[in-house]
Amino acid sequence: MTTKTETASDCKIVTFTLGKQTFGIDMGALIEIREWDEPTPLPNVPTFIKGVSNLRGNVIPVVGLAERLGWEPSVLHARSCILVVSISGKQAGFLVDEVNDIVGITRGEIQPAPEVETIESSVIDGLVRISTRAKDGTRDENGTMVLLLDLEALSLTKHLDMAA
Amino acid sequence: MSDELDEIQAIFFEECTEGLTTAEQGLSAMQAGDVSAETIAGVFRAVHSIKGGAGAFGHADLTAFAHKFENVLDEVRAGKIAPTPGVVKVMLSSFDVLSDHVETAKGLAPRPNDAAALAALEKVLADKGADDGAAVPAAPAPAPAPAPVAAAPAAPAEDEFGFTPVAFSLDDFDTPAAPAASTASWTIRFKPSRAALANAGEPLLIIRELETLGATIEAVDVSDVPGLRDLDPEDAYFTWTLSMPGDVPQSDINDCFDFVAPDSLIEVTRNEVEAPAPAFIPVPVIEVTPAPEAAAAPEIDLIPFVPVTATIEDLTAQVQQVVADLAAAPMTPTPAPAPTETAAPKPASEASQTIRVDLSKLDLLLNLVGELVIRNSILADRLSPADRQRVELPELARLTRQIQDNVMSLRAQPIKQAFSRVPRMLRDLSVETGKTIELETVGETTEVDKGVIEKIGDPLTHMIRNAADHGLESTEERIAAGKSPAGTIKLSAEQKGARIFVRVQDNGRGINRERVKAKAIEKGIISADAVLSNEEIDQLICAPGFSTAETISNISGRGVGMDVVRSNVEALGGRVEIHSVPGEGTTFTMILPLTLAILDGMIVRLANQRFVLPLAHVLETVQPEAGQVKRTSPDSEVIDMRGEYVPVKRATEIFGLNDDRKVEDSLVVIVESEHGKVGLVVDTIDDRREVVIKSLDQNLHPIRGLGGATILGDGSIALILDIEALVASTNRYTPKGLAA
Repeated sequence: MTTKTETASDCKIVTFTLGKQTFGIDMGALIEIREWDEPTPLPNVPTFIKGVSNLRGNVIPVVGLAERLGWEPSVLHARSCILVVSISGKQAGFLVDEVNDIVGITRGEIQPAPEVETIESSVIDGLVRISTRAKDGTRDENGTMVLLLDLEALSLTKHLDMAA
Repeated sequence: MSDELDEIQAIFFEECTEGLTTAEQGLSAMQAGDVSAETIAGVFRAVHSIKGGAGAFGHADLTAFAHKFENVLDEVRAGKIAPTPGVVKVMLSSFDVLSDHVETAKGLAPRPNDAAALAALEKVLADKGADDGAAVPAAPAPAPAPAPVAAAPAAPAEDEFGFTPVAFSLDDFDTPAAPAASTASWTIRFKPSRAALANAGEPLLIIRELETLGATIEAVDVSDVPGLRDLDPEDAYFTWTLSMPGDVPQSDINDCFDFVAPDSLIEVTRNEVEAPAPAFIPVPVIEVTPAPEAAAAPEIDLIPFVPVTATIEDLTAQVQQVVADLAAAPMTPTPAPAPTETAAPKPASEASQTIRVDLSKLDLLLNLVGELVIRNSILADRLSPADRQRVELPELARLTRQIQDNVMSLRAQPIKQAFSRVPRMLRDLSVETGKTIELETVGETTEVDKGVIEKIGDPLTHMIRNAADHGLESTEERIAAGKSPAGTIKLSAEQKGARIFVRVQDNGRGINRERVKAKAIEKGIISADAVLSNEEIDQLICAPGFSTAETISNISGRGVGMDVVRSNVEALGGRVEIHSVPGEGTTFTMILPLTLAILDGMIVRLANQRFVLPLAHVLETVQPEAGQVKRTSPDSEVIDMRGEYVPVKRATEIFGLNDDRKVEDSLVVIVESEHGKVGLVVDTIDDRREVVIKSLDQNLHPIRGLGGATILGDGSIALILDIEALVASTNRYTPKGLAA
């Protein structure tokens, strides 16, 4: 993964947590954030596909993102929600533990993710450090590491093509 | 401004399409032997309307051609030209050229070469003239139909201007008596209806149009103008008397009155100088009164202009005929053959009126209505039981359902739309190949989503061309093979579950598998030692770059045809099947999904989850008694249906759902499939309703055993079962069976 060092082209990311990790996706891909609503289960699909849900007349798959990324499945709680995103024209909902913030970053800040010996190292597009808001409103100067997700690599069809 | 014009022009083209459809139906009926006055008049009206609109939008070529076509139709309508098969054939090919002209006017095609068609039309007209010369004098040719339309404008041989010399007659009004002019002239009396202005029938425009033809105003009768106190400035009170040079064809004068308001008074009389003084023969003055059933339509009936020909007797007889028919007209139940319509462009009532709507708007509407239904039921849930009993809520629910049903039906269109261009295409192909081809269509009313209809046009064209060019033998070959000389192409459509089957079947020579295989090896598509089944060889003709045609013909043989068919159909999520029997013919079947179709479904529960079972497959439902379902192996069961053992499948097992329900507590739905009858075990049946199929692959990928999903009234999703796939799969749940 190479880092693009374009200068000061700001982009916004939505950050959310899965377990103890903070992730980010490009804000442009986000369609909406919904409350968790039990989707209709589908037969004969990988377990990370939780089922399908009705998004204003569209049938969209709901994906357990933690499982999809190989982490422990999310445990549902009051702040669980679904990020509805558009990936190359297809819509999907990702179950996440909590949505945190919308932050502006510059491309230059993105650092490459370490090459990992997994089947799909490309899922993480890069790493970026952001300062987070502490409870008292002040900024935590140490900041948090955000794993930027490559949505294209998460495309459900693509994954299945690979599995096949 | 130009946008507005474009919009109006778009409406005109839409009307052209309707008109062409009507004309084609009429001509096909004529070809089949129906030469009733009604049919002919329908075709005439359609062509006339196209001509009128084309003129208004300045499509000169289209107007000119339509005009010539119309002339022939007019003569046929008048009984001057007998609608013999030969004449009908000329008209059919003229119709094709007319369609091309419309395409040209739309800017979609280059200007067609209409010389041949024009010549053929001219010839028909000329032949008629010759016949008349023999038959003469004057009396109208025997009409093929009793309708007086046939009797009315019966003209003897035309002069170079296309008008008919007739003995002159004057009306019995206060117009100046026949002017002592040396040439013939027309006298036109025009009194617009009182409501003319309100109906956009501005008399000035009509008078100006007449003036452009050379008319001059002789007199204006203002006697009807009331006193100032009673005068309504928006009413029309004047009566004009105009004179027109005699060399103007009567049809041109008639055309000026095409768009005149109903209840107007129009008289056109011809003053012929050298006529043997029958002088003041009263020409019937007819108030144009729309027949009651036609009153709502904004169309105009014109008076048939009675040509006075040879003798007073003839004239009187005709007048009596017309008057009698006019008197009878309002009582005639059908407005179509009403004698009052001569040149009036009447919107063909049988053709469906359409409005062009952007498809995406319909999609949006459908989604919004879905939302409305969901909100509706949420509202019902939130209300107290007492409030729920009030009449308003069920009313609202009912209305919402009706809206939903209607919106759903908007997207589904009969597949006829895709089939409609085939007859025309086959006529062309018939000419190009010299083969006689008969077309049979079945299942035109099958409703398919509009999007599918639009996309199967190209594959269908290729399949038809392929069948006509490669499938069918030449007439000589057919006779040699002991077949009927005419080849048949059968086009059919049917819905089976969540799929549409469109078949193109020819009774030709079938696929020559030896040659196909040899060609495929030659083209390097398969290796020389490949061992292929018959079906695999048949499939080769869909391979890219494959063509067995010896020479590249204009029709097919560029080696792209069937390849295009396959890729187009696969892009739609469908597949192409080929079935061929040597010497008997080939059947191409496009199996298409209903990406967004309406499905009549049964809502069933499996392991308490709701599923939709397509009703088309359901034969019957039974509640099995103890022992009625018997196990034949650890993995298979049968149900005893009145002595017939029907295999039983458990969808819950196929889907890997947990279900410990005993079969006696369940229901067995007997379904019909390609693999015969099968019993499906379900928990219960909830409901029966029409559902919109939403494809899963829009956002995910197809899942084996599921034909899609639908959104139920409460907003939840129910999955639609694909019976064929379920039945074909084994009873045992295979986790790897996914995404196949």
